[in-house]
Amino acid sequence: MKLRGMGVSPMRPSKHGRDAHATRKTTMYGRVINWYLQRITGAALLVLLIMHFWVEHFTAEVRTHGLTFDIIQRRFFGNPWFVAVDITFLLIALYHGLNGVRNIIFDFGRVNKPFRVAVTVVLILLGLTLAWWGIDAFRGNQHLNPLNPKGTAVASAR
Amino acid sequence: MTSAISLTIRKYGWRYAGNVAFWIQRLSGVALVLYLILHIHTIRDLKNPDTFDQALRTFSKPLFKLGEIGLLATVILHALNGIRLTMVDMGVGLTKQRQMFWYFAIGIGAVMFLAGAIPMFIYGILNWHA
Repeated sequence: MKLRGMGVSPMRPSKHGRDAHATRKTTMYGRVINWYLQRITGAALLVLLIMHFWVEHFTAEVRTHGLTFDIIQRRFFGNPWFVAVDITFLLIALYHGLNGVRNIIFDFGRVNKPFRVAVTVVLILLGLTLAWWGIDAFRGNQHLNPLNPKGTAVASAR
Repeated sequence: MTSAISLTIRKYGWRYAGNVAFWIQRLSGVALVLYLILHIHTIRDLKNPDTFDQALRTFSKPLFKLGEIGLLATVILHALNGIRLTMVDMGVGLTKQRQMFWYFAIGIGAVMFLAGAIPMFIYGILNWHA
């Protein structure tokens, strides 16, 4: 029975030939962890994505006004969980997506170690940049202001 | 009807369901990564509220709403096929994996897609407000 996983399944024999055999001892545990993390983050994303779709499309305020800057501002300062969940979501999605791209590239066939290292470094840098874009949009954003008790923004810079 | 075409579909549709699913997973995965990058790029506009609201107005046009429904379909495809792949890798229902492809795709997937797409169509494209 031939197993068909995402190419990094620890149960699947390597098809990368000599190079993969040479590095197996050092990469085997890495591959297993990689495989599990891709599954675990995938399961987490399933829950987070359902929440995300619900919040951005079907909540009452979005249905009536459409999504606006003010709604996002009210959410973020009215409920700190929004910030926590959104940033967690961002990081998990980035890991899962970019790690998936890495798996696809590595699965194309014979790839030597310098190439693998280069791909990993480029993807990590891309991930860090995107994570920074996402976090920086909220953190230290002078246009996002705390709310007064009435639930409207204080001293909006607009 | 037992035309040559339907016989071919019946034969190869089952045989290669696993292979088709494998490529669906890769292509939809890459598409979702590209969407994620564009999505985060738009979030940067929160630094400039007017630009952000302008961008959201653009994205509320029917063409983009149709695109969002397509996105929903891609996400459901990727998620359900991911669950199936995990089950296969763990050895759950291994002998039934080809049938599971169709159960997941047509059974659960179509229902979830319609449950999401119909409200998105009503609120987003027809602009009907509850």
